[in-house]
Amino acid sequence: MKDTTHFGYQEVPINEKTYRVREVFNRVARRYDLMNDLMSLGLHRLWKRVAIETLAIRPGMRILDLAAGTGDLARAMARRTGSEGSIFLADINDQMLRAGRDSAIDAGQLSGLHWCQCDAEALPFPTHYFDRVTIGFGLRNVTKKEDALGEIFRVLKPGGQALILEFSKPTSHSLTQAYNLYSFSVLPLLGKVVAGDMDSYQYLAESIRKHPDQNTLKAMMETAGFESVRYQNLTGGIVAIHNGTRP
Amino acid sequence: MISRVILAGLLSASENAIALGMSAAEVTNNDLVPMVGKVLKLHVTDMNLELWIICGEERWWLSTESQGSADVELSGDLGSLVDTAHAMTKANTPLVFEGLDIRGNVGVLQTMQRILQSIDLNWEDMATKALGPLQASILIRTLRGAREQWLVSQGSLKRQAEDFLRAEQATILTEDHYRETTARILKLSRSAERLVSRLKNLELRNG
Repeated sequence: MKDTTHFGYQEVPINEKTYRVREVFNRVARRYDLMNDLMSLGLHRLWKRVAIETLAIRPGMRILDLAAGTGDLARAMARRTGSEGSIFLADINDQMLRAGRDSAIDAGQLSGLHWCQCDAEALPFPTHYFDRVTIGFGLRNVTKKEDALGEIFRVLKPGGQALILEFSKPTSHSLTQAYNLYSFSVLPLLGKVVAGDMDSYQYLAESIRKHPDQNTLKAMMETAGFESVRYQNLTGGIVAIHNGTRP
Repeated sequence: MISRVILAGLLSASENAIALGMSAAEVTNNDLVPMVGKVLKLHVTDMNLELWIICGEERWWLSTESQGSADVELSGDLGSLVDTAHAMTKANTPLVFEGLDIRGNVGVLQTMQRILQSIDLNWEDMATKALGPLQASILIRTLRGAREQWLVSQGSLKRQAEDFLRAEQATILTEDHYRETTARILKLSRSAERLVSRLKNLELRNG
């Protein structure tokens, strides 16, 4: 049995990846939102908005946001679920959760938000508990993606929807070339200048390349048991939204 | 096709404009309570576009993604939907238009009509607050000028079209008129032919 996994372009022991990913996000947590804006030229906000639109959120829903990070996706959903709804923000990294909690306090938005430090591969929630489960720009950092998809499936109510928002494979050759140039030349440099951390952003660029493409991820979701799995590419496939329903 | 990301930006801006309008009109969360959780679907048939309006506790959201089932669905061409939107801001106006198909709970639509009627917008005041007095005055002057220009152009076009019809009416031949005239000429020529035949018969009989 294979006992190593990828960490960017490196092969590392399976039990080491979680620790290393945590270290990366510990280092970038403080400037994470600013870096997201700079790296995506603000597009990440529109990607997240489109993702939320696909979820058909209604007031009163209970939603789990995995790899919630600094919580911008969760807070946007909380505005739609209203006072009767609840959003659980889960992340393996406490520094990111702290940054997210501080942002929520600064924005005066605390009602219906619950923070939880946990691993997506073993969720501390009962079966059939959530109406929606989302994971935004987080699945590629999970060591055992199949386990995480299985857990997402388990905690969803029948008829509930899962959403995976993640970097993916650009659909055109010229865009791929420009994107590679940007990811491996500009991105680490931005990381160095703004966040004072070149290696972490080098890892982010590498981890995107190692992440399964659109069709592979769709097949993985189907294997986990999801039905009506579909994806839509955004910005030429740089980002893809996968949706699946628990039967 | 408009990029999905650009469309998301437009929807976001529209939502903000609606929220700003409601805030300016002092629509409170209590006013929105009857609509919370309700979903309206607009289907613009001539553009093949679906737009969903999802009513939240504090604001209304827009989406072009399917939101599952809708409480009320309006389907029609752009013109009829614009007429409906216009009618919804006016009191005692029936929501019935040619080419518009309404399905579902019409009560939701009537509740929305009541909320929209309560919004009395002063856009000049809003623009001044948002942009500052100097920029707002330039914008207001430009828009007023454009509106005046549009009204003048519209009036002039209408007048010229009427003048043209009046002047050219004599030479305008409708299809019905053409058919009637042709039938009358045919009838006359057949009568003339019959008359000629009778005369010939009389000549032969009487020498």
